[in-house]
This record gives sequence, C-alpha cells and structure tokens, in this order.
Amino acid sequence: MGLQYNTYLNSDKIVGCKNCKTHLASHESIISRNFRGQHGKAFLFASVVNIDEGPSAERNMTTGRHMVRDIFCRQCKETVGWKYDKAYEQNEKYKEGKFILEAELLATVY
Amino acid sequence: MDVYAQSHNDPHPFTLALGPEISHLPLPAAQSTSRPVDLGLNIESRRRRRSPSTESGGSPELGDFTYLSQGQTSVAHPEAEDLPHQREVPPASKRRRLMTQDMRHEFPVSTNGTSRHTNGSSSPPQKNRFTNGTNGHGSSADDVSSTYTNGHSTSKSRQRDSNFFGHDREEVTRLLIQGLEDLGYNEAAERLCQESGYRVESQEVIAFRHAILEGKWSDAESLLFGRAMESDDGGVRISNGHAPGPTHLKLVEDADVEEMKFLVREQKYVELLRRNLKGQAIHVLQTELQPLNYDARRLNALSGLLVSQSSDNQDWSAIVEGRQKLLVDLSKSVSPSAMIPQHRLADLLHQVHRGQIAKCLYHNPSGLRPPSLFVDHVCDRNEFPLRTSIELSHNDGEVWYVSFSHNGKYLATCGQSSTVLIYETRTFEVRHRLFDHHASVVYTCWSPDDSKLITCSQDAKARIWDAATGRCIQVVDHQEQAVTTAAWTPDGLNIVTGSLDKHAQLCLRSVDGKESFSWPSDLRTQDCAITPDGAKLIVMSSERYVTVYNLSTKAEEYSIKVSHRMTCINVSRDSRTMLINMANDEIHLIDIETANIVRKYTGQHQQDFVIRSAFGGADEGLVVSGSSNSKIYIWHKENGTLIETLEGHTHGCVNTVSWNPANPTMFASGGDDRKVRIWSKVHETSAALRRRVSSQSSHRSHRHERIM
Repeated sequence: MGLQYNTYLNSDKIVGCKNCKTHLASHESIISRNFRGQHGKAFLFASVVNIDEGPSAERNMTTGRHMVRDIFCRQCKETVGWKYDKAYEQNEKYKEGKFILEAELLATVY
Repeated sequence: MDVYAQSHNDPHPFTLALGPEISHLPLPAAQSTSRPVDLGLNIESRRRRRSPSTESGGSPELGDFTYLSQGQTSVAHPEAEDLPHQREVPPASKRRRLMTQDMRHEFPVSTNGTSRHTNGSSSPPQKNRFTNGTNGHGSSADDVSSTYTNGHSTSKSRQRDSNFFGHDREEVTRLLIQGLEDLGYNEAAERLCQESGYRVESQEVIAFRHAILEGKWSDAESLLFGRAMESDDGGVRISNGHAPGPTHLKLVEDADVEEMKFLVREQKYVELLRRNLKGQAIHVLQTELQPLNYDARRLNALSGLLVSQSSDNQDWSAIVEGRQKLLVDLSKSVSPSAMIPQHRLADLLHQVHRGQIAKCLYHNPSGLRPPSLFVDHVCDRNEFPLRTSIELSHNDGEVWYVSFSHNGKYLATCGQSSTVLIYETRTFEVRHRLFDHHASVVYTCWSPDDSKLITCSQDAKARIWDAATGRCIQVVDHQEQAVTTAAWTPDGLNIVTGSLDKHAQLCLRSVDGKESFSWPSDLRTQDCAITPDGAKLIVMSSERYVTVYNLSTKAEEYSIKVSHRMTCINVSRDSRTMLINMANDEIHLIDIETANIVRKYTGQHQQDFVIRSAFGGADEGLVVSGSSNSKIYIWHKENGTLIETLEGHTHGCVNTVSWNPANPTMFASGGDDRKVRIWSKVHETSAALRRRVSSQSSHRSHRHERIM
C-alpha cells in the first residue's frame, strides 16, 4: 500500500535480505546468537527495518508456548524470520517485541 | 463667513471627484494672471477674467521664467473646455495666496525626478533634457512671496475639516495631485492644486530638484544642508518660510549628511571629468571630496578615474541619467512628506490588491486580468476544481506518480506495475503504454519542451522516452539500487538522476547518456529538483538532509538537516521557494535563498509513505497534497489555511497530485486504489469528457453519482 522507500542503515556490517539486499538490521545490534530456527542458526535483534509482519499465531517453541508472527522482507516478500509477540513463561518474557532473523535467509551487505 | 461654503449644499464640502467628475470641480476664480496684488479686489471681476485657457496664455508676470509648456497645456486643453464656471468666491486667505502664484506651467510635467513623459503631457523640445523636474504641479516660482510655505498656507480658513474619512486631508490631496499628474491629467491636477491649496512639493523641493538636474551643485547643497555649510547647526530643521530665497529641505531622521554631500560632489566630479575639465575635477577632488573623509575606497576609485578616463565621453544623456539617479538617491534621504515617493498612489493601490488577493481563499484566476478596483476581490468557489470529472482505471497497480506535461496536453502515470501510461488530456485516451521497465516505476519527468519523458524505476534503471512515438531512446543504468528521481535542466540537454545507491547516487549527464558529472556524497537521494531558472539543484536525501547545489559550478551551497524524514520536494515556478513533505504530517515551504521555513501546512497524514504534493493554481497560489487517508488537501499558499479536503479515492493513500499547468482548474490525483482521478470545476465538461465519462463501464456509474 503506497510507495515506501527502504530505510538504510549506517553501519559497517549490515545484514540484509538474501534476495534483494534490503537492509534489515545492523550486525552490531545482535542481542543473542543462541537461537535456532527452521533453517538453522538465528539471531535475536531488538529492531529491524524494512519488514512487513504477518498475522500472529500461537506456536510451541523449544522454550515453550509463544505468540509469534512471521516477518517478511518488504521489497521481495521473502520470509526472513519471526517476531515474538508474547511469551507465556516468565523466563522468556525478555523476548517480547524482539525479532529473530534466520542466518540462512540473510546476506551481509556492506 | 464663508461664501464658499454656502455655495455648496453638501455637508461634506470636499468630495473626492476624479475622472469623469472633474467637470464638477468648481474652478477657482482667482486665477487671472493680471491681478494686482492687493486684497480688496472685487470678486466678480476676478471671476470673469478667469477662463480655462488662461493658463496657456499667460504673460510673464513674476520674474523671468521662460514659458515652456505651451505644448503641454494645449494637449490638456480639450479637457478644460468642458469645465463650467461654477465657482463663486474663494475665501479671503486663499485669494491672497492664489494671487501670488504664477499660474503658468513652468516645467513640462513629469514625475519625480525621472525623464518619463506622462501621457498627455509633452515637453517642449528645447529644454527637453533636464527640466523635467516637477512632481505633481505645473507652476512654481522660486522666489515666491513669503506667505507660501510647504504645502498649505497656515492662515487658510478651516471651512473644510482636515479629516477625510479618517485620513489626513493634506496627504490625500497631495497624493491625488501626484496621481493626476502621473495619469497625465495636468490641467486637473493644477486645478486641484489651486482649489485645495496644497502642492505636491514645496518650493524648496522644486528648487532642489531643479538644481540637481541643472547641475547647480552649490545651490543643491545649500538647499539640502543649509545656506552656510559652516553653520553650526546640523541643518535638518525645516524652515518656516521666512528666509528670503530657498531654505533647506527636511531630511529623514537618520539621514547620512556626509553621504549625501559625498554623492553630490561625486557627481560633480564625474561630470567634470566627462567634459574633460580635468583641472577643475582635480580641484573638486582636493577641496571638496577629500575633506569629507567618507569612504576612502570610493575616493580612491574616483581618483583612479582621473587617469583611466580615456574615452572622451561628452554624452549628454549619460550625464542626465547620472543626475537623475543622484536625485533619486538623495530623495531617499529627504523626508517623505517633503518629497513624496514616486507613484505613491499606484503603490498604495497595489498593496490593497495584494491584501485582497491574500485574503481571497479560492483565488485561482484563470484569466490574467487583474481584479477590478471597484469591488473587493473575492473568487467564486464554483471556479475551483472540486469534483471528479474523470476517473481513469487503466493502471493495474497502485498509482504512484502522475504528471502533466508542461503544455498541459499529456498526462503520464506510473506506479506499482512496470507500465507507464501516457494520456492525452483532451480526451483522456491512452496514447502510449511504455513497457520496458522490469519493476515498478516511481517517478516520471517531462522535458521542458515536452518532447521527452524520463521514467525512473526500482529496477535500477532510468529510461528516456520520446513522447511522440513512445519509443525508448536511452537507458541510464549506473546504479544498483532503485532510481528514485530525475530532473531536466531548463535547456533540455542535461538530466540529473538520483538513486538510493550508497555511491554515485547523483549524476549529471547529457541526454545521450554520457555521464558528465557525479556528485560525491554519502547521502542517498530520494528526490531532487532543478529550479526553473537553472541555477540550483536541490537534493533531498533519505538521511534527512536537504542539499542545495549550484548547478553551474557543481559546488554545494548549503545543506540543512530537517527534523523528520522527507518524502518529496517541489520547486516553485519563480525558483524562490521549495515545498517539502515531511513524515510528521507537515508540509514546509522553504525559501531557497535563506533556507528559512516560510510556511507550514498541516492536515494531511503521511505516516511512512511517499506522499507527494505540488504547487497549484494559476499563479501557484495553492498547495495541493495527497494523504494516506485517501483524501486530497488543498491549502492557500500565502495564508496557510486549508481550503478544501476532497474525498474520492476509495482506499489507501492518495500518493500523488499534479496540477495542469495549462488549465488552472484541472488537476489529477493518483492513489493506491489504482485509479487516476481528474478533478475540475463544478460545471465544466467538454463534450469529449462527457462522452468519456459515460463510456466508462456502467458498474462504476453509481460511484460517479455518489461523487457528484
């Protein structure tokens, strides 16, 4: 809906969509690397740009039940990861509102 | 008591009568030139002697002023003959004053120090050059009797109040006299002078003007500053008319006396040089310019003129020009009540006009005739484009940009689909479809002569098309990321393309594609514009900077950081202001020279989308913008008030608007609902448009009814 230009980040190492190189997040802002997604390694970020969000759904993750929604690259509509909406267990509350980007679907952009 | 007052029956003795009513102005009776000076003369005899044509046949009475303006009054003669002799008796004081005036026109009537000849007055050939000196009155006498002071006689009886509907009578009358002179009605102006007793300029001013234009420098100086320069007084008092001969003029409060002296002497010096009287020139330089100690640099330049003056320049007209310019310069320092600024009445009328136009909300003049003075100017709302006359749904993607060609004949639309459509505006049929892009097209730009079109796409290419054939003649491919914008230089030979690349994002190239210059910068270009005078290139980047480059030197002039993300930029036709849409739901109008925010317009919603706005209206008096809530907003540019909010697009954002440069009552908008809407005024349709509307598929007709 509407035309939106991509946001560009200023950083030395930027992770972007593997398909269209759209900037997604800056490498320095990784919070944790200790995640696994469907395709392997994944990182937790506090903020990502140039994404569209899908509908929220309840899923059972290895760490418990969560409400998550998939996120897509705005330009090419490819899935790049997911976002935590709600965590039901107290230990997992820190993930709420943060994003996971799967390493397999990313590329480094300079 | 006043016989004069009784002769008029209206309670307001002084009625503003101009133009066709001049004939009702009663003639001042006591105008005969052969009057004796004593006061007890029979009124009737005076009246009899008076006729409209005596002015042109006066015998020399006072002094030895040569009679100059024969031609001038004879031109004004026919006007005078209609004037009836209604006038009875002037009041006693006026009699006294009128008798002592020299009623003939002395100088060809002209304006304030310039040699412009007003229509209706011709100047006598012999003293053509430098006797056009009066401002608003024909006759004058330098050494008139002492009762004549600056503007009005103090002993005039007060049968007319000095308050004219809240304005000072003297000011209004003097303005009118000046206005009449400017219009060429010299006879009328003279009569008004006589009847009212006011003069546009006092004797001192006339003498001063005369002195400057004739080159009598010492007279001029003494008039300006006082008879004796070595007098201890500053010389800025106004005299009260007792001194025999001219006295000094009243200057403005902060008049720089030194500068004025310098100017006068400088002119004297330059003239001497022109006439090759070097000895005298040197003398002036040493004795007069040097001791002033004013602005040594100019003094040195003047001394340099001595040696470099090679051309034997005896050009009289150049000297006259110099004197007139000097007069204008000096008159700035003279108090405005002594020397009224030129064309003051016309100036005031201009201001009134501007004020009315500024208040007129729907001001969208389709003709260029200025609003009449008789009525307060208010534009009709029905002349304003408020209604969708056509809805074009050929686009199969969201419409992201629409743009009329400069001649108003074509409309280019583009958007999410990679096809660009060119419509003809007469019938709104699709003239061309341009298919070559691989991804969505974000921007189109018509060349100044409308022969070519640039389209910028997210497939990282910009294409130049020939508008007549629809063929792509050039591909610009130098960027990795989307090309977001392009602009033409006014000569149509070069283009600037901008993209979101990190490097090489702003390139100037000639139309055949040869790159000539690439600006080094780290800022990704989101939008750019070239001012219509070709001087500047303005670039808006995604890092919230607006940078202005000088197009000829390619140097950066300045760069300002704005508070929020911007989405589009437009430059006004007069190359002085630019319009920027901001993500915080404001539109800023910024002056290009000073980088100041002149106006802000609010009301539209932007969120994060690229919403474009445009200048609109016949003389760009409107600002139009799309919005993310499917509405179109129109503001009055000067006021900043929101005039209209137009609905029509069904959902999504209205991404773009474009006003038809050839038809001030038509504009186009494009939105996310894949439609292009043409808006025009309420009652306008041409036959072709009507056919078009009805030929649209019928299932949309109910929507049309809802709109209309």
